Amino acid sequence: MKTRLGTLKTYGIIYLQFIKNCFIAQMEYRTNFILGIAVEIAYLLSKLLYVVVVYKSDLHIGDIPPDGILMFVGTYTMMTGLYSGLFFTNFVRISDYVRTGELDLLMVKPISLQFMVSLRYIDLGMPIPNLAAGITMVSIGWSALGITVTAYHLFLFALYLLSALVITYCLMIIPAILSFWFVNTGGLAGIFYAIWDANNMPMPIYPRLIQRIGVYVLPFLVITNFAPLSVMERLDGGLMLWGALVPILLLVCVRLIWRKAIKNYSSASG
Amino acid sequence: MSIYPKYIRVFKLGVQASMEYRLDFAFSLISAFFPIMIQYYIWTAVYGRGSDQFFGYTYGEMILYTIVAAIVTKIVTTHMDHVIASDIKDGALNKYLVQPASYFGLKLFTLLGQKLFFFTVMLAVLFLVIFYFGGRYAIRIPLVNLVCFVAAMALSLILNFLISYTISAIAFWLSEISYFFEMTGLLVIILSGGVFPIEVFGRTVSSLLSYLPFKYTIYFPSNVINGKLVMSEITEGLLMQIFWIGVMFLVSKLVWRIGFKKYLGLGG
Repeated sequence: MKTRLGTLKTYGIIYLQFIKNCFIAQMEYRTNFILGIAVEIAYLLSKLLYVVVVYKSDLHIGDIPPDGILMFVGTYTMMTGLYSGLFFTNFVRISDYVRTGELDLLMVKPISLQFMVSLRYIDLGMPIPNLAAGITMVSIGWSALGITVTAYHLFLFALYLLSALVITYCLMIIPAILSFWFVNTGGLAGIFYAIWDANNMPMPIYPRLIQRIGVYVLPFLVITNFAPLSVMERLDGGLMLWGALVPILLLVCVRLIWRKAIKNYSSASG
Repeated sequence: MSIYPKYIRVFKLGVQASMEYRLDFAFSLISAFFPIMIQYYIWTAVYGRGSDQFFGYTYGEMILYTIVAAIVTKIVTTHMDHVIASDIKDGALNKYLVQPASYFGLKLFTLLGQKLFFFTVMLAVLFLVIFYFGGRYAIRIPLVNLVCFVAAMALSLILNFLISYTISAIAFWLSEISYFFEMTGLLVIILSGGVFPIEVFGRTVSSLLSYLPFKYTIYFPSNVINGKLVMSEITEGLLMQIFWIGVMFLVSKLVWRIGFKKYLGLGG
């Protein structure tokens, strides 16, 4: 147990080092840093159009009023920010590592290869607009719905956000891992981004079959629905448990797929 | 046509290049399906609450707009701004400058060639969709609208190319371009009505957009086919497309002439 904790601490220190390195690198190219933020603002605008439609048409989904929908859109925006900041850059690079044989060099480093490859780059600029807008929307929705701010509610929300982060990692890395077998997985990644956007709206808007698939088969819908649903007290016990278990199950699956993928690595043109 | 054999040549090369990535194309078709699905459920929920008109569209018109606009967006977005901008930035433009052909013509005909295959497949998909949904929501689409739609699409492809071509000239002045054109591309799609019909933006913005070329690339063709526009509006729209093609052609020439004075030909 003690060594386990020691390892965890070491990885924590390495991760902080990653953040520091990325910060230094990004401050060197400040124009790029600012343009990255501008791009995210453009994406954000296109998502905010949905909010405009929701309020202008006074959309109710089941018995969720527009303010409630805003909480879901807010959570979705926050998660998009976290994804773009923590994972996106890394996952895009994985297929390059495989294609160019650059992975050889990373493989010999004395830390976990998956950790190194999938978490090394952190973008500190891109998530800013999404995180700011997302937190604002969640707060507005939260107070407009009159949900009391208790430690329990905050804990629930944070717990399901954390679970969402792990699920995001596991699902979005899949197209990247598949590049060990297929050279071009850009098309598949495009499909995953498109499915990701289904989270833009609360899941009760979809028919039951899509909801089931989105919760139990490819758990995309867990990512942004469970946190707001839990504080609105609309999640039953079974779903609450499922929301906490999915990330663990997925992590194990991804780890197994990763091992298989590495065995398949051919070190081309290295 | 045979006066321009070189352009026909690059046109054919464009056709061949587009056939190379069929799987990618299939994937991009599938990923176009998801936003349509999301918006379909949103609009179904919106119209399910009684009122039969939102933003001036009936339910059927809105659903058809959503589907058609998504497909039209896929057809007209060119990514040419990316390609051209990096040509400017890394000096690849040099090799075109010494060729006895215009860069503009080469890019235009490559694009048309590349899009020919997509265009045909997409049109086929679109017509299937229209016949299915037109029947379902009792929207009758006269044959003349279909013909006008094909014309509007062709014009919109050229207009969109001219817009991209003009915007990409900014690369003459910018030192860093990687993110910039992703942002402009997205903004152009939003302003063109590729996400939602421009009425959603409110009266002020949508009347402002009437003075700009963007809405004639996605918004206009989509409304030709969903039966929202009457014949006189369609004719007017087609004329406006031609007008904007003329204007944007002149603007792009001007911007490129000024830009070239800044051109360094780095790299090459």
